[in-house]
Amino acid sequence: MAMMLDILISMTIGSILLLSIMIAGHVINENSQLMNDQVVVQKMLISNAQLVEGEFRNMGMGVPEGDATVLAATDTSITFLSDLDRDGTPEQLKYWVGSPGELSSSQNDQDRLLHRQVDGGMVASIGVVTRFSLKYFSQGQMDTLLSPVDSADLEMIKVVEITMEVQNPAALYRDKRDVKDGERDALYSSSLWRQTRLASQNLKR
Amino acid sequence: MSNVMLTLGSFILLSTILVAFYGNLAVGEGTVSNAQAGINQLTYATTYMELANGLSFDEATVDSFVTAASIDRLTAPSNLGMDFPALYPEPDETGFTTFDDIDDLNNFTITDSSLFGISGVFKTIFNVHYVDPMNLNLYKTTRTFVKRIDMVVVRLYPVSMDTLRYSMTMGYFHFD
Repeated sequence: MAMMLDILISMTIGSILLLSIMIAGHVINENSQLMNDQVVVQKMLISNAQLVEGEFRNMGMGVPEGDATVLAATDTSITFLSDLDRDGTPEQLKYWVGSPGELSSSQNDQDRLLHRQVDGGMVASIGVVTRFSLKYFSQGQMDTLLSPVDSADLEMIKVVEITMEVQNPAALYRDKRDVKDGERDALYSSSLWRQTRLASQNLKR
Repeated sequence: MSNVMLTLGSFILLSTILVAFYGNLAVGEGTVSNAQAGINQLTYATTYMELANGLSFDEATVDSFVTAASIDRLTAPSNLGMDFPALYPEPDETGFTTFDDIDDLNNFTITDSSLFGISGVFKTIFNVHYVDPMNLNLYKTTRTFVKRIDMVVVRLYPVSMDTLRYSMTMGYFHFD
């Protein structure tokens, strides 16, 4: 009887051990993949941000005082002037985010291309984002301008807030039993970047 | 009984390994989280610096010129800070929406919760000083034509181990 009890207790503890190992294996697998994805996503975000930041920082450069810097403004696109080649004539830059359909081949259903165009020339896709939203303010963030900004109000834009989110294109699919209503069926690492830029570098001195 | 003891021993050993492993996972996640906080801290810093760039050098230069001979018109070093209450008809200065010159940022603190649930709650503390134009690291207790804004950005929640310090100088000049 004592031996049977001995075996029973050993089996119970052994089962707990086995279960712990299986759970740990699952957690390790999911976490290591998420962490790896998170690092990749942060690198992607920084890469996109460096491209965008450089040109948004010089928004309005070379534009005569009093002239409008922003030529068109919606919550997902912006057209502005900046003297990119320092020749005294401002170029017209357009940034906009494409539709999710452009990247239907990726597992992430929300990622899309960020496009850039100079003076109506060739369209360049400069990055992959899941969110690229723009907000516009008059001087000192006193008033939020409703998007799309009416052409008559474009001159009022003094501050532009850019929000960019990048998620990894590859999904970490979840067990269907764990997916609740309204939730996505996969896990995606995400990284967010938000920055405010002046629409002109010569507002006040 | 020896079987139970052996199994218990292995259970303790495995538990120790698991605890160590989960601890390592947590450290890894903490590093990634701090990296994300660093990205956001940097964007806060550049955002506020950009907004500060859009402000005048001093209350006295908002709508008039100051020359070397009239440098006393600049705000006294001991009075750097927001104008609250402000002189009529200007609005009381309480934040970026009402600030009109960079020294309004002195001793100003802003806590932003708009990224709560995404990357956290961030707090930014500003300090403004006059500095020596020949040595920007040297604070001056007298008026000069160069001011330095020092900024500290921290993540309050979840608490980040990293603090971002950022400084910017603004000089006053005009063409006659």
